[in-house]
Amino acid sequence: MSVPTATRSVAAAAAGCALVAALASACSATAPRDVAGEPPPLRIMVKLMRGSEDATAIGAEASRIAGVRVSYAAATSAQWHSLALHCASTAECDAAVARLRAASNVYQTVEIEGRKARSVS
Amino acid sequence: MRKLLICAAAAVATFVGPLQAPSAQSSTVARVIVKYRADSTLLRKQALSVAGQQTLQAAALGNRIGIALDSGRAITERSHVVIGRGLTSQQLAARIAAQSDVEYAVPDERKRIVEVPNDPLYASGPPITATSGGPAVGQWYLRPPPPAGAASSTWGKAAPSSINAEQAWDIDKGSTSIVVAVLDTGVRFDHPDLPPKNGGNMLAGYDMISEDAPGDFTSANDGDARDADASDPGDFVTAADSNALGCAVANSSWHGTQTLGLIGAVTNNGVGMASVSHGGVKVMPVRVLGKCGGFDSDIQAGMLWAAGIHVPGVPDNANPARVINMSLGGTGACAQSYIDAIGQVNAAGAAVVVAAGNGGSASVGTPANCPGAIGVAGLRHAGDLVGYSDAGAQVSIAAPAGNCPEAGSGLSGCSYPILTTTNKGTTTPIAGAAGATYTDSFDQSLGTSFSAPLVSGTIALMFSVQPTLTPAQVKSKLQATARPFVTVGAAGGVADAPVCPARSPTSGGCFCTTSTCGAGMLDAHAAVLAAAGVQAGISLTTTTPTANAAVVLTSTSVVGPGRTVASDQWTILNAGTTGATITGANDGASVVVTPTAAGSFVIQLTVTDDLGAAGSTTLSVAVVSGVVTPPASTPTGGGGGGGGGAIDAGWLALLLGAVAALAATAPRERAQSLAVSVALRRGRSRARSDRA
Repeated sequence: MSVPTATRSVAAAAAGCALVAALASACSATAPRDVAGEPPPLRIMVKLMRGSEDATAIGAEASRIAGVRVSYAAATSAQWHSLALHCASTAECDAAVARLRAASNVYQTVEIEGRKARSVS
Repeated sequence: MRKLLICAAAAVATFVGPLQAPSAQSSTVARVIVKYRADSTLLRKQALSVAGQQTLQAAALGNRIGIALDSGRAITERSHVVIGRGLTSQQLAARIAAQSDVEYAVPDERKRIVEVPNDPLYASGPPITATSGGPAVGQWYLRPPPPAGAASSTWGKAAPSSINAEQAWDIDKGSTSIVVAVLDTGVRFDHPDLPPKNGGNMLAGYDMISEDAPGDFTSANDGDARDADASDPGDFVTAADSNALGCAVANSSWHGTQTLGLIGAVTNNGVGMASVSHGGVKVMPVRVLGKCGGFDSDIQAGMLWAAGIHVPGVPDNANPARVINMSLGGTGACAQSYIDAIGQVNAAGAAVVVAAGNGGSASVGTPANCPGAIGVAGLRHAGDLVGYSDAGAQVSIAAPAGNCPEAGSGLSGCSYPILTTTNKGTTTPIAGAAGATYTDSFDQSLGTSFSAPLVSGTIALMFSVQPTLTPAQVKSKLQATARPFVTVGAAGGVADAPVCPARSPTSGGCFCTTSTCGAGMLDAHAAVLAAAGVQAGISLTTTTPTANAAVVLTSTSVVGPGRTVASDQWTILNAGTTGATITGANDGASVVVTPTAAGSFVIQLTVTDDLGAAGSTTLSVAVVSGVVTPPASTPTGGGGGGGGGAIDAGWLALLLGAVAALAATAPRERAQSLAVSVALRRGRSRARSDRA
């Protein structure tokens, strides 16, 4: 029953990465880091300058810009999307977020995504 | 021709007459309680009567005001009921009250029984044992509050912060055209006190929880990501979950079942509990919280979807919600993504209600602190801020959140929790009736999580009576009708409570101010009454108001569903140069005004409905000069003096009526009058083209 965005996005991200790698060597910096000890991915939300529902393209472009592996997490709307940054360290994620924020022609806003909890005492 | 003029004059009399004594009220029976002053001449005059003293008083009073009055039941020596006909009780009371020797005159109104639902837990929770039962005060939070300042010993099963849903239900019990989305942990659809999904007021909703990471469904706990199943599989947190997600080990909360029950539990069904909306609106679970809460992106997607806005990868919601309840939050400033989402949702017509948070701080949680949200702080039963509630300038309103006055006293159980629906399962749900239960004095529902649904349910009733309201108007009416906060005293045992934002060193509570806890304490009755309102309107029946001619104005006012207009009151606010005065009665559905010169006058209509809600409007009426030439003497019409002199529709109607009245006269006269009629029509056409 799930919307298979994640499965799609993994494959698509890899494909996108390969494409990007063919054009530049950026993918060498965004190779998968699914290794033991890697910190959990950093969830961010981005607001696109131009709305899109193409999860694959959104993830691939974010990977290219951020310089780290990015997996597409979920859509909120055509403009707002949740992405997961896979970094080796906090510093690497900080730098990746800074690069995304600098890409103001692509992203209106880049936020660190949080979690909300039940408001019980 | 002379006969025609006579007929026209008769027609004028017929036309104006009913407006002075509106025919709609001819069968109305007015009942008024009148009390005479001790020195009333009416009393003196009748003092010598030995029998039917008050009958004679009523007759004498009626003579004074020009209305035949009968005497009804005697109340005291100087007061009794009088009965008149052809006008409303309010109108009769106003006329009698204007008499100098009348102390007061008030409508003798029939009071309706305020409906108390027959759901057993409304009255009282189950008997308290060592580990379960209660609260003894049942659903105290829905009852009418005691009078302001009343001693706590007189509160009974209500409390100062009770929201008065009972009287709100007297106005409306909810419309199935209104949907409340509950963004939470999902719901236990099989709880027998919640509306059924098939054919009931429960919509299927959606599960908006996506993966934590590709292929990782730990938070969702249902083995998949977003799907159409909004049922709650449990949000228990194991040690492994705790390590992975970073929150404490816990049993399942059934939080969504609790919040949704407060808004939409089936009411007056003789089972379980009552809900704020009286079970009259539709409720829709949108699952956005799982183990350790939920991601912002899923919550925002849930908000948009609930309001009928497209979310990529998800089928659109065919039942857009007008209210979105979010008993959730976190800390920090309002993120741009929430500003965008709330803005879109508000623009789609849905109000967003968010719990203020339970950090006990002076900083309101997010997204309750976002523009466009209705942030709700939590009150103790006594009306002061409950110790755990966040508070601050972004709070819109406050409502009961549940509290335990006996905390720390060594007593067991909690006397003022929020009773609501839940499930007995500690991890996975226990299916069906066997698992369905209610929170109580031991398994307590405490938190601003439970304040927000009380507001959401109230808003659902407001939209039910007035679906054209915007979210901003709803918020404004909620705030305008909120009751003032409790400000002083040791109400309910908070002797040490300071004024917010300072906090009690022991309970954390404080006495609210409008800059810390919102506009006041939620009053569901007042809010729904304000939403229903009265939309006063005036229609100018006379096409071209002309000096020295009757100008007819009619009320086009609209009152809430199931309500009736109790009274109309017309007043000339500004006659200007027109010298306009009201001719005849000023309290009917229509009024006749006679200006004596050109210019403009301003008239006001105030309409009151049978529940006391009132609305006013004004209309500026332009009056043209000149005397309308009697149509019989100017059969070609249209000419006349001043400004083109068009014959207005009223005159035309009168004359056509006169023509009809002559239909039974001699053939020669009939032919003459028909000729006049045709000429008038031609004249009217010409007059129109002259103006063009």
